[in-house]
Amino acid sequence: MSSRPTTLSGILAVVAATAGVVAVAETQTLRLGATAAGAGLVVFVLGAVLARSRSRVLGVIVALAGLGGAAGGAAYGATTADQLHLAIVAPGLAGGFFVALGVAPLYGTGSRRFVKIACWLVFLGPVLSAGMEYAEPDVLYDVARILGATVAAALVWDLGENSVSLGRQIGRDARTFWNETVHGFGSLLVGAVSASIVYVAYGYSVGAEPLEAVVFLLVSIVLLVAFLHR
Amino acid sequence: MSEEDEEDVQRTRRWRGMTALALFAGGVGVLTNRPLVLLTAAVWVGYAAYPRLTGEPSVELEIERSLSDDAPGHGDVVEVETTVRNKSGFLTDLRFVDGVPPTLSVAEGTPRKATALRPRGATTFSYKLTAKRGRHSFVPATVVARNLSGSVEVDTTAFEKTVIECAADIGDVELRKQASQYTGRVLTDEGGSGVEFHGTREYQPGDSISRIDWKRRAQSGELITLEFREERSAKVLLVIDARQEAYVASGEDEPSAVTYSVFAADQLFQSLLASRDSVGLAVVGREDVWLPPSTGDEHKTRAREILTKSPALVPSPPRKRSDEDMFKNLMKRLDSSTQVIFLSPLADDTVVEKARRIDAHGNAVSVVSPDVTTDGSAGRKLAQVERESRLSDLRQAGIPVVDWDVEVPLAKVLAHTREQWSK
Repeated sequence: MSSRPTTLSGILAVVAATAGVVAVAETQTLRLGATAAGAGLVVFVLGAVLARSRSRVLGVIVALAGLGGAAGGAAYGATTADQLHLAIVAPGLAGGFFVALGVAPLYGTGSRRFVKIACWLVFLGPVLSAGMEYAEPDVLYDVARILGATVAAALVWDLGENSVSLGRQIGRDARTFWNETVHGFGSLLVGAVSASIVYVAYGYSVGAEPLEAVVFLLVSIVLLVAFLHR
Repeated sequence: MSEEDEEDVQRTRRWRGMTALALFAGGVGVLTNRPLVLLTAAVWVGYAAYPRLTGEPSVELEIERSLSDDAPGHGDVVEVETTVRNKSGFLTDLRFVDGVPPTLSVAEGTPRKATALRPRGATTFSYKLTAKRGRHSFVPATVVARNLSGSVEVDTTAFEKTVIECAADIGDVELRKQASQYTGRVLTDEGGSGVEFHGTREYQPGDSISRIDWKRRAQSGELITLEFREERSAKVLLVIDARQEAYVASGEDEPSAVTYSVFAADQLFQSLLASRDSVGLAVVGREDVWLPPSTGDEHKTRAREILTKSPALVPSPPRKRSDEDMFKNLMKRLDSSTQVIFLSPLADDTVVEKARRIDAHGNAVSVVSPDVTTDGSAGRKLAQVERESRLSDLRQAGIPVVDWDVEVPLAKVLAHTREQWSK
């Protein structure tokens, strides 16, 4: 039995990381570079799977090509963007690499730690974007971008972790499609629902609610959840 | 049929980090006075609450297995198709590892599957096993179910009795001449009705007309009766040696001689029963097991039960030595027409002595001895030599012995030694 991470969730985790980066990218060229990098990382993971299951030589070639594409995409974005724009997407891009390494069947049984680091890095994207006021609080499109990127960061962790844990318990050779699909759909739904609630509530209150009220509300919710989690 | 073992419920704590991210984002948002950062915190709060929204999954499964061949030959590939049916609520995350018999290896595919199952939904998967000689029972399948968020993991098992029985067909067992009064296949030295010519004698009133030699009558006018060798069925008692001494094996992870004896007994039992001999079963070892010779399907089932479930035949040796009384009991129970087949690795002299005594007592004895000795250290060689001398002791006493190299199918060995047995 091969107890390496499962492919579907692994690929989706990389896609989520890429989506998180693209959502916070400010310029067209950065978005293009990030998309290219993400596509390269997906190809890299597929190549690693191929190398493990079918043809080693072909798989290594595909994986290296993917890695080259990812590096090229990242470099294209980096050379054309200005530094502050780059600072917002850089952690997310690094996160993409981390999650790809964590779920690619390279060595051992995958790495939960890499997936976790990737989640944190992608998480930084929307925080930096909103913190540096590139995403503006009174533009609803920006609000949606930030919330989407945040949901993407959560999915990176959830899908990546599921990929590793399924691989360890069931193995990559087994059929796991429905398990991964239902699981992924569940966490996507939770993200979509909570983001929608926030979006709708915020949309009604743009300019009207004082910040303090929102702060108070959120702090109480966070405290409540922290208490529940004890 | 499903059987739930004790469930092991654990929290995976996989969403633990979400609270930290929510607090971090919230903190940054407040400190920098950025409402959008605060909003991201709300999303994290949603994820932190997610595991709270999903409860503990209750798991009740029903397994069905179908085998492409439930009595394959040694080395054959058997396809196993396992169907898992959900008897509980929606299982969003089910991880199933089929309980492949530990003695068999998977040849193709994987006995594992992860899926989601709606109530009463079922999933089917198949894989291939390579069959080996012996009876192989499936063990309980490992089941791991997580709730939708994956925060709670329930570890349990599900069992469905399935057996792959890989038995070499051993054909007819050659028996010694001792026979019962019933018609069967043991050729006796007594004249009577039968098919093989035995002799002639003067006609006595009461002889069947069909047995009168009419040719002779026409030639010379004498009234002569033809005699044929009587064919009778045998009454056989299989005695398994499961004393502490018999638990010898060729290596640490190898099955003991008792395991092989049980396997051979099963084979012999089936074969003898099929040829309408009456067969009994006795075990000398941890406890006294006694199934008097008989025939019929019910009898067959009872013997199966003993061979598979009797505590006297478990794979680990008994702690204390068995006393001599067991052999005494055995001899008391034997009637004069029963012949005895001993199944013993001949690891000590007791069986040799008892076999000779029973044989001298009037019950024809044969011995089937699984050979688990190996080359190697001086001690092992000595055991090998000792066993060989026991074999020759028995043969000198006129007791036929099948020296069974366990690597070779029993049927082959029996066929090979058949000539010697019938002599």
